[in-house]
Amino acid sequence: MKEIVYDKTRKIIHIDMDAFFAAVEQRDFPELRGKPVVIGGKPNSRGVVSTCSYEARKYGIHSAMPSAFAYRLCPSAIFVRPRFEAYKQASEEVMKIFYEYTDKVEQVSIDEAYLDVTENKFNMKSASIIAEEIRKKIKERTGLTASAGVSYNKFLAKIGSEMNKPDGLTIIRPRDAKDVLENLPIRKFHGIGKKTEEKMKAINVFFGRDLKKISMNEMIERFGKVGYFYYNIVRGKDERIVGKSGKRHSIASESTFAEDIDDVDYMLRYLRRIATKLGDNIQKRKLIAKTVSIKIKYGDFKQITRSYTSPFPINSEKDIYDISKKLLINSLEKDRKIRLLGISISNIINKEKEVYQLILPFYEEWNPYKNMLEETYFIDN
Amino acid sequence: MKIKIMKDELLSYIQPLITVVPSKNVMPLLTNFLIVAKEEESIIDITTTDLSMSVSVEISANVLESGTVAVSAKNFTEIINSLPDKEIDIFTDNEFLRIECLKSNFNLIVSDHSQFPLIPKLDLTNSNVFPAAQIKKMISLVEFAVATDTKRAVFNGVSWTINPDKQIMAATDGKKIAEATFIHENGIEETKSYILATKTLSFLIKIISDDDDQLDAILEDKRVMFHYKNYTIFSHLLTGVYPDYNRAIPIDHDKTLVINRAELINAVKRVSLMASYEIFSMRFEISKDTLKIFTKSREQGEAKEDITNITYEGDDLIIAFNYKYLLQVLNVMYSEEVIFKFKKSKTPVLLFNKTESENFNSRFLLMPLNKA
Repeated sequence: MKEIVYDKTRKIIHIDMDAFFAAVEQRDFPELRGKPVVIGGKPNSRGVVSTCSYEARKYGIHSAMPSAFAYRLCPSAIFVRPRFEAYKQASEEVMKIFYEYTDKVEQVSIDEAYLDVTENKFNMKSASIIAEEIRKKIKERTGLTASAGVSYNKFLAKIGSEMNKPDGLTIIRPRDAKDVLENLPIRKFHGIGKKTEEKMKAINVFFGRDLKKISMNEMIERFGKVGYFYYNIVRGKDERIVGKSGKRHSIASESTFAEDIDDVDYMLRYLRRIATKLGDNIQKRKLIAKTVSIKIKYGDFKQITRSYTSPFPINSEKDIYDISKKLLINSLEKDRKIRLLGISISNIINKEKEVYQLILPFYEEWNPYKNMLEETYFIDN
Repeated sequence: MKIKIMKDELLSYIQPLITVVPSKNVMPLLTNFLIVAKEEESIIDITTTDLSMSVSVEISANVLESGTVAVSAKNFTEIINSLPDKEIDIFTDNEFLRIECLKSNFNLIVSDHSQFPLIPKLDLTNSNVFPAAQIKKMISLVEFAVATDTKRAVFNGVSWTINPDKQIMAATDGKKIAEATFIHENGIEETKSYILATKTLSFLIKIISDDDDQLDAILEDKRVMFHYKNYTIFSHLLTGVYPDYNRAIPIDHDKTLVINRAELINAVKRVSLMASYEIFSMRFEISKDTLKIFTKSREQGEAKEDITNITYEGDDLIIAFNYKYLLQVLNVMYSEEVIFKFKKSKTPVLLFNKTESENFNSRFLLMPLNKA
């Protein structure tokens, strides 16, 4: 692969729409403005909060929280069913603005993207001016606000966009990066979840500066692949390219069951159903994936995600089902019921558009999942 | 312990050994050489092991006093390497190993050698005897194709099949297959297959010279011992069955290209200057009298080169390769002209040397990219 020198000259912007779904609702329905708005399942259902307005966040409501619980926190909150078409349309308008400046756009999700403006269509030198212009254009054309972070790598840009939310802009210059990273609480390191946070706290790592004291070997031993990533990240080294990240997007399907279940056959039948759905989806779009993840939420709301990245292309419902079944069986615990189950496939490439190396079939076939459980690693949410 | 030995002599034997010393600090003692001096036989034995593989080398020396020490392999090699090309005195002095040469002297800390793993000695009387140079040639033809990205251990090794009248080495990483066959009566009665670790093979390549010496091998189910000149090598064999790669090799090719190897390598290297950093894609457009090589990348630009000095039979074909893999294959091939056999743009391509010696041949398979 391409060897990249540790580069501090790139200009990366991370743009994140503020409370996106809720903001679209408040824009389209003036009566919702200034009020706690919750997008997601109804409070009397077993659904969860998808997004909520800043007013609702004051009550402690956040995404992925069960709607019923959100209702208890703030009975006056207005619960709204999501209107994905409206969000998609707003998102497209926003993305169009990005492409006015550069083609190096990596859309992370419907409301979030990275831009590499090192070279841009207006030959502008200042990335912060570009970020300001983009934020202004978003406001003018969609009536929505966005926060932006500007820095020399993706991680720092993302940290930046979170620092002055909502409607803010943060610039992290190379000379400031060390301070920012050293004083950043571990929880704020994007991607470090509760579980990893606990593990880190157990070894007295609370801030970036503590993380820095840990050797690369120890990081890899304790946290695996992720450890190596954070070893570099905390040193300001993140060479991921905009638009070329392995996890370009993912396709997922999940459901909260009507009641918590512990019937393994039922779970497997459900897995097969969504595996079929996902398999059809990628086959129709001529995509192949390399990673299958399952998400499990237990009755006590603890959630885990387990992933397996295959050295071989995954493109059939059988592959998806076989992998997710193994992942599920490996994470079931006696007497612990499951509330939600889902599969997500990622590391997706387009079979027709992209050029890739062909692999001899016998090499792929040969016992592909035998060592799977050893290769499984955990990402907690 | 007390030894006198010429610097160059000693260095030439320990330099290959240092590559076996484990780099990881799993067991600190293993980063040492075990040095055993034997006065009656006038030899010193130097041993290193990473537990999966052990190497001992026996060196003639003027041994004035027997003894055994374990010292840092890295320090010892660096010290010997730095000394002038003169006689060196090596002797134990309390807890140090003292190394003197002209006016330089070093005191190297000695470790407790009692825990150093014992290397078994096998009797060589019933060993199989192979021509070392041919074994080296086989290894160097297939080594590049060994998989490095898989956890399926067998593919991290080289398959070695010994028939009564020939032996075959092969390796594959799913993108390419390399196979070398050496035809000779080797005195073996029934066909046996082994999977050799690449580290062991790389070591053999390093020590085997191109003369007519023999390589003794004692092959057991789980381990192998090689003896070559002064070296004795013990190695674990990889367990498992090497999958039958032959069924991946198609036989129904209908297009044949014969081309000068050096000319092709040079053209590919030139055109590769503009190839993409990510997939190293290079397109080959082959027709009756011309091979057009082309590449382009968004980041850099494009390049093309035509080769007209070819013989091609079959319908026109457009096919793309990762040029790095293609060069790996071409670089180990040895005849002036090479033969490509194609079927379609997405099916495996076979490569052969146009001329082979009577008792040796090889073949290679290369998978193309999905599109040109």
